[in-house]
Amino acid sequence: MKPMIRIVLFLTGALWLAPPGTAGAGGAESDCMGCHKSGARAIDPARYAQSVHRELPCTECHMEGYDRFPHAGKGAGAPACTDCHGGTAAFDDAARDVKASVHVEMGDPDFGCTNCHSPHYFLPASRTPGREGIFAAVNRACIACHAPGDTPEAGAASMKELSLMHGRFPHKMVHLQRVACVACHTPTDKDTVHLVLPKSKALGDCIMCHSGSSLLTVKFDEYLAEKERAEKGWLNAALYNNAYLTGATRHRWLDWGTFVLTVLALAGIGIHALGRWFFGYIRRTS
Amino acid sequence: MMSGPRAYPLWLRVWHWANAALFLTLLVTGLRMHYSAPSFPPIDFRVSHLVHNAAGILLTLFYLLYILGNLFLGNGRYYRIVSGDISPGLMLQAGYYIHGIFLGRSHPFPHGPDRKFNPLQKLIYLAVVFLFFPASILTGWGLFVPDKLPQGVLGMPSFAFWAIAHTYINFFFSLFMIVHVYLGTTGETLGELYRLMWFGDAHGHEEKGSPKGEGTVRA
Repeated sequence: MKPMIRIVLFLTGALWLAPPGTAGAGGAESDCMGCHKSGARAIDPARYAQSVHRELPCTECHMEGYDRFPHAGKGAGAPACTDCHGGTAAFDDAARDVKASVHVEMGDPDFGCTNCHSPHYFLPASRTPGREGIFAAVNRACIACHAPGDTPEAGAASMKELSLMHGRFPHKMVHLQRVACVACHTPTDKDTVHLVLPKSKALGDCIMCHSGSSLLTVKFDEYLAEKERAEKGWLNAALYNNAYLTGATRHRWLDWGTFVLTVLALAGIGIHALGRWFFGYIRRTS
Repeated sequence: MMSGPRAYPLWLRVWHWANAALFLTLLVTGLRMHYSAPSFPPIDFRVSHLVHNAAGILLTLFYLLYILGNLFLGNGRYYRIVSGDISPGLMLQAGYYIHGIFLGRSHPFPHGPDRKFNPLQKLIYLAVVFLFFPASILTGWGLFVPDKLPQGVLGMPSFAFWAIAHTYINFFFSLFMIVHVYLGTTGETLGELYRLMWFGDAHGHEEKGSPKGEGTVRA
């Protein structure tokens, strides 16, 4: 289970991905945005201003030939992510795992970081508020390909189709919205979220999450409790607390024990009440 | 008109019925979450969750007010164990429930200025109000602040410990409520104690009871 904790911490924490000092809003709107506000090569300045790269000028990545117009470069040839981010164990492991993932093995040999993490809009999940916000952020990349939709209606239809593929779950949509895809679709015995497995190897053991001793959810709930208190204040954090996982409080013998006790209590009350009525009747008629 | 302090002042009755409503709400929403299943959807899960949290926070507030009421408004004196409560009080009262009540005998510990609870009731209420009640509240709040709690209680992850403790403490609490509702019918008439808890004892109600005065009040 220990690697699972790391997975969750990686998913939800991911704090080490972002350098300190990038929390402020902003990101100067560059000259590039004069042209790139609309059209096929448009960049949404509002979303870029929220992203983890917001303080970088465009030419930091789009280097050769892009400092003037018309551009001398051919296509937006950008450096590899690892040019900046490489050299740390976390990124090297991620790059290695992506190469071994189903996306590369059975899909695109060139599948890489930017297929999931948009360099323009990427924001660590830990920066999004609330449990559902975190899952939405984590799953956004998966859903972009696996349940695409240009309109909200088309997206909802795709999500419904995707939910039907998750036939084993009760409350399919709840699981899709409140569980990180990679929680089940990566190995549970390794601390990685990048080694996405073929469908046939996805985790199918409900007890991995739905048990009182699931460290996976415990760690996540503890992390969220602290985060939500800081964001919402303690009262709102308590009121809107969502740290409940169906089945996590179930204990077979305790459930049976309390059921039997309840039945015994009701039976005892019934017998006692009947006795009161019966002896009262005898007293009244004698 | 009753002389001396009232056993059922307005603040106490408001507390009691607010508690009753909150308990029922917590029980229904708690069961909904515990036994959640797709085939059992009378209340939306998320609604249950929010209502359960809100009712729990309100219950905590009411409990703190009740403690203050006991400390400063005199109600605490009814919880003090006095001479005769344990022996022979417990046996006498148990005998009444097992035997005397069927023969129509009078309550062995009638209500008076210094007694609202019979000995058995007093002992159970002491445990319920000052042990189970705070345990229920504390374990509930433990789920709100799992990161602040001692880690690894009894070899279980702390969150699991608080969740399971909270669930089953309150199962037993609900058993108390079932018995409580029934014993509320054991006054001079079936509805007497309910009327007392609703309308209070400001209108000489208790003087119409048995020759010893009001029967022991246990609702």
